[in-house]
This record gives sequence, C-alpha cells and structure tokens, in this order.
Amino acid sequence: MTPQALIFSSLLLGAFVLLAGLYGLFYSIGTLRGARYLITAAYGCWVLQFLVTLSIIMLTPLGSGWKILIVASCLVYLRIPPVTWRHLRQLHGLHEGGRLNIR
Amino acid sequence: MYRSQKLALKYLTAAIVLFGVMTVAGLLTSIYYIRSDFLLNVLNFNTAKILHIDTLIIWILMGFLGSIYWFLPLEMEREVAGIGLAEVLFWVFCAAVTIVAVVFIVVQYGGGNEFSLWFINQGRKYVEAPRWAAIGIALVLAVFIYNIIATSLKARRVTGITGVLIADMVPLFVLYFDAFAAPTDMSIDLFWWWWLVHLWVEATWEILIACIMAWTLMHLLHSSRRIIENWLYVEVALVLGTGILGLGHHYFWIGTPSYWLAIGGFFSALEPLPLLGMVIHAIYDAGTQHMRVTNKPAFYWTLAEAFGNFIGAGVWGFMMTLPQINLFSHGTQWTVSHAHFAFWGAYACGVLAVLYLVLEQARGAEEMDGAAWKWSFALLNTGLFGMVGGLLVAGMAQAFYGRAIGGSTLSAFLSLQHQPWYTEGLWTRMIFGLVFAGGYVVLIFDLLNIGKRPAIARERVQQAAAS
Amino acid sequence: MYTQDPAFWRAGAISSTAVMFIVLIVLTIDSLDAIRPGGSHVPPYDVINQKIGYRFDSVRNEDVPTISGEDRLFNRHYTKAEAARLLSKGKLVIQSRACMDCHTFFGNGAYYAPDLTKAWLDPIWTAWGPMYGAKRRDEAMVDFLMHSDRFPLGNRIMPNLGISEDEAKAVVAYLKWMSAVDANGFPAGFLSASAR
Repeated sequence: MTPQALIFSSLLLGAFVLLAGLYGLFYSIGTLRGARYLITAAYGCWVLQFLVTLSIIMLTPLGSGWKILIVASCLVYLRIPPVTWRHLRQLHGLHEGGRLNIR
Repeated sequence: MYRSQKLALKYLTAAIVLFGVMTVAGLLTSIYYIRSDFLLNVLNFNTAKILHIDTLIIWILMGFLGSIYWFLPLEMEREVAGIGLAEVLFWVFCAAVTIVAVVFIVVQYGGGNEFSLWFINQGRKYVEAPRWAAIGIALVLAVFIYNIIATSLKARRVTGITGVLIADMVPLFVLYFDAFAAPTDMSIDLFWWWWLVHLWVEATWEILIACIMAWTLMHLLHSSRRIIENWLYVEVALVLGTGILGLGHHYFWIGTPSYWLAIGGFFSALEPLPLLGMVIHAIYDAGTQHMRVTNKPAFYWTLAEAFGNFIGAGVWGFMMTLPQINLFSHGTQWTVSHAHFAFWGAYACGVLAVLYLVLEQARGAEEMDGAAWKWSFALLNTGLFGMVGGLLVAGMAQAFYGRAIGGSTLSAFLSLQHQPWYTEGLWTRMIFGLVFAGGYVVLIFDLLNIGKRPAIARERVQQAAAS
Repeated sequence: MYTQDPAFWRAGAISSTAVMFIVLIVLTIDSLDAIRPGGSHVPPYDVINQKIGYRFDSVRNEDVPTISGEDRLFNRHYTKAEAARLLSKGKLVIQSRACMDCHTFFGNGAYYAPDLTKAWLDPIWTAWGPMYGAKRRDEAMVDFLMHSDRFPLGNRIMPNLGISEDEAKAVVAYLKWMSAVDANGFPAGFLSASAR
C-alpha cells in the first residue's frame, strides 16, 4: 500500500461509517417529525455511503475479503434504522402503560 | 438517603477530583511533545503519562462504583448488604491511590527486580500500580461484588439489570488478575494484558455502563423496566457478540498467528453496527420525550454518550482497524486520537450524565438547568474534539511519513519531529487541551451549585412562613 | 411478538456470549502455543547467540525476521538457561523503568518515544557508532542506555533512568530476542525503507 493510498483508504473507511451515522440520524429525526425532506436526506446519505463503498472497491488496494465485508455491511446499515425504529415503536407501544415507581 | 447512596456521593466526588488530576497530567504530557527536555530527569514523560492514564481508569471505575452504590438500594428497595465494609474500603482505595501516586512522582523507578514490582512501579500500561496496591483494588472490587450479590440475596430479588450486572462482575474481577503478571515473553505478556484491557473497556465495562445507563434512563425518562431490560439484553448480545472476538484486533502484530488478522479485523469491523442502533435509540428517546426532561445536563450528556461512542469508537475505530491500514497506524498518535475519543464517548460522558442525575436526586432539585452546565458541556466537548482532531492529523502524518515512507526506524522517527503536519497537530492538541481544562473548571463550579437554588428558595419560603 | 419479550434477547445474549467465548478459548490455546519461546512465531531465548535479520518475503507478502548463523552477544555464548535468566532480568528492568510508558513494543505502550520492536536492527547503531567510539552494535546500545541523556537525538532526548551496566546488557539482549519475533510484518519496511 502506498502512503497516499493509506491515507485515502482510511478516510474513505471513516466516511463510510460516518455516512451510516448521518443516515441513521436523519432517518430518526425525520420519522419523529414526519418530515419527508429529512427522510430523503437520510436516504441521500445512504446513497453517498454506497458511492463511498464503490470507491473503496475500485480505488483502494484493500483485500477482496474486506471489500466484500464492506459491501455486505453497507447493505446491513441500510436496514438498521428502519428495523431499529420499528422494534422500538413496537416495544414502547406494547408496554407504554408500564411505569415503574422508583422513588 | 441510604448509607450506600452517601457512599456513592463520596465515590463520585473522588471520581471528579481524579478527573481533574487526569486533566492536569494530560496537559503536562502535551508539553513534552513540544519540548522534549521539559523537566528532564526531574519528572519524565513516563511518570506524567502514568498519572494521566491511571487516573483515567480509576476515575471512571470510581464513577461506576458510585453510580451502582447510588442505584442499587433503590433497585432493591433496601440498604446494601455489607455497606460498612464498603465504606472502609472507600478510604483504603483513596489512600492507596494517593500513596501510589506519591511514590510514582517521588521515587519513580526501582531496580530491575521483584521489589520494584511489589512496591514502586510495575511498568505495564494502565496497571503500573505496584502489586500491593493491585491487591487493594482487587479487594475493593471483591467487596463491591459481594455488596451486589449479598443485597440481591437478602432482598430475594434479581432484576434483569442486577442479573446482567452480577454476571458481568465475575469476568471483570477475574480479568483483573492480569494486573499481577510479569511474564518474560513479551508476546505472552501482551496476549493476556489485552484480555484485561480489551475485555474491560470493550466488553465488561460496556455492559457495566449499559446497566448504569439503564437505571439512568429509568429515572431520567421514567421508561418502563420491561423496555429497558429488552434494550439491555439486545445491547449485551450485540456488544459481546462483536467485542469478544473483536479482541483479535489487538493480536495483529504482537507475534500471534496470522489468523487473528482476519478474525480480529472482521469482528472489529462489525463493532460500529450496534453503536448505530444506540444512536437511533437515543434519538427515539429524545424525540418521544419532546425534550421535556427536567434534568437537561443529564439528558444532554446521555446524548453525548451515544454520539461520542458512535463517532469516537465507531468511526474513528473503523478508519484504522483493517489490518492493511493498521500496519501503519498501529502505535501512533492516530491511536491516541481514537483512544481519547472512544473513552470520552463511551464512558466519560456516561459518568457525567449519571453524576447530574444523582445530584438532582440528592439535592431534591425540581429542575436542573442553567448557563454553567451548557458552558462546561460546550468547552469540554469542543476541547475534546479539538484534541482528537489535532491528534488525528499528527497521527496520519506519523503513519504517512514515519511508517509508510520511513519504515519506522529511529531516523524516520527523528525526521518526523520536523514534519509540520505532525508538529502543528500536536500544538493543536495542547491548545484544545487547555479549552478542555477550562471546561473542567466550569464543570466543577456547576456541580457545586446546580440544583441548589430551588432548595435554598424553598428553605427561605419555609423560614419566612415560620417567622 | 417474541422480539418484544426480554427473555428472547436474554437467551440471545447468553448464547452469543457463550459461543464467542468458546471460540476465543480455542484460539487462545492455539495462540499460546505459537507465542511461547520456541513456538512457531516466537524464537527460543538463546536466539540471542544468532544473527537476526529482517527481509521482505514475497510469498507471505510481508517482512519476516530471519535467524541464521552465529552472532555473539557481548562476545560470549549463552546457554538456554543463561539466556532465559538474562532475558528475565531484561524484562524486569523494562518494567521497573516503565519503558512502555514512553516507548512501544510491538506497537503497544506509549507513543512518545520510538517503537522498539526492531530496535536491535536499527541502522542508526552502526551509523552513529563511530561518533561515540563504540565498536559494535551491542556496545553502542549499552552505552546509550547507561548514559542516554548525554546523547540528544535531533530535538529529542531520553532521560537517564539509572540503568547499570548489567541491567543495560539485559535490556539489549531482550531487544535482540524481541527483534526475532514474527510479528506478521510489523513494522513494515523497517530495513528496506531506510535503504532507499
């Protein structure tokens, strides 16, 4: 790996996870507020994450096993916010009445 | 107030004092990078660094102990069993920490013999405290675990949270035995050392803080126990599912077989996934409460925990975890950048959140707000981000010039000292360290005062009514 | 729905933890065998009698330590037992002076001072030796350790840690042994980079 590739690859990897975080952030806030533009922004972030994934595959000297892992992770990250949100809503919906007296 | 809660306040006070010592020691270490002959042969870098990293571990550990001594009697609805013993051991703990620190500063080094390991300095990172003190810490932990188990038995109750906590305490305690080891073979030494360090900070401590945050959320947001427990088990499954074999990301370069590169890298790459779930959960809680929390600082520090953990441990970690990158980033200021950010996000923010919640309950405050907590929140986080940013630039420069180009020789190391990206990154770190320290001062001011005014006002009203 | 039941996730937590832990135990047993002195990755202590090198292996695609021939340390031969005693002493010195709180070993420790994984092989000992009259690498390293604050290196300086001659020899022997450990290519390009 050349020194330049080292820095470039690591920045792409950081961007990869950061964009996943931004996707989750905008998705959650957008769902809370019912704001379609935020949900759109969320999916926009995921699309950017996917483009970063393509860059990692095509432009970095990482091993093929790692590239496959990153592609798979990108697809899993797509599902995390909606699945987590649905789980949280169902959880709170079923048990909203259960308040604990803790004082 | 239960005796256990009074002990909790002592532990949390000691924790915050040590946070201050850690900050001062950290500022000190940053000076050596600018001037290598600073306090040469008087107080060398390694002594300052030991004070910095050991107080880090101890302040967070004391924060954990304080949090649990606070919540446990509320959970069990009775006084903690063996609290008298725990009270004595608190002072033993404080005395041991003080003596160890004084010996580090005054005696500094012994000869290359067992006596040094028993009484002066063991020289293994984070666990430099001499063996006599390590025995003391083990004793404190043993009594702490006894307190939790005995209280649970006496109350004839094991809640989901206490169950997870007790299960977590066993490996936490057993792992600490590595603090006594001194094998000649460095590969074996580091192999077991990483069991202690990784399985503490990236496994058992994660579960510990999760239990504490579970109680915090129940008190802060009045969430139902069943929801909290569900979330707690999910987190344990995901954190330990990725973190136990994520230990392998420390086994790339210490002489262990090469299969660790694949295993460690794979599980390490999965570690950010549960952290994203935690961020979403934090936003869900924030949103459904419409930000209508009465304890604003506790709530914002909890949010900082979720985001800091994701970015500091998740993003920063992922940048450097794949073996092909790590080969060059390993053991550089890049590592330091990640370490500061991850510890801050994963643990420091969480302990600060609990601290504010405890103060609210201890002071009977109706509302916890004001200007001071916002200033300390801003200064501490800005300071931390600035430090981390400076260190990332310095670290990438080190990996680029010192490692990738220079091949990690002494000559490459010396040339690196004149690289502008490296030196300016380290100056940035020091300047933002001062910002962080400013935030700490404001934090102390706020902790001493927040939540007191309504109580004082109530008192005045009562006095006026009485007279 | 079963995902709303904490018991489902509790079972998940217990089983995933257990499975991962069992895998860790199995790998630990295998790794411990590889990293004991004389194991597949770590040489026996009496390697200090031999010549250590470090070269790029195109099959493994990484730098690999080489062990060949004789290269006496301090002009003498060490038996296995003597080498073990010497290295044990060296490790105690390293711990007592908290070397890992300035330096790194296999990249672990503090990041203030250079990594010492291949310090034994560093070209600087032979390049700078004539400057302070040392004849051999091992002499130069002992000299440096005993009087480190007399040898400023650029804008950096190492403090004097009160290391005696016996202790310095033990540390140098330890560094020689350590440089022969197979660390999967870390640090990369150590000798090839400086040859450029």
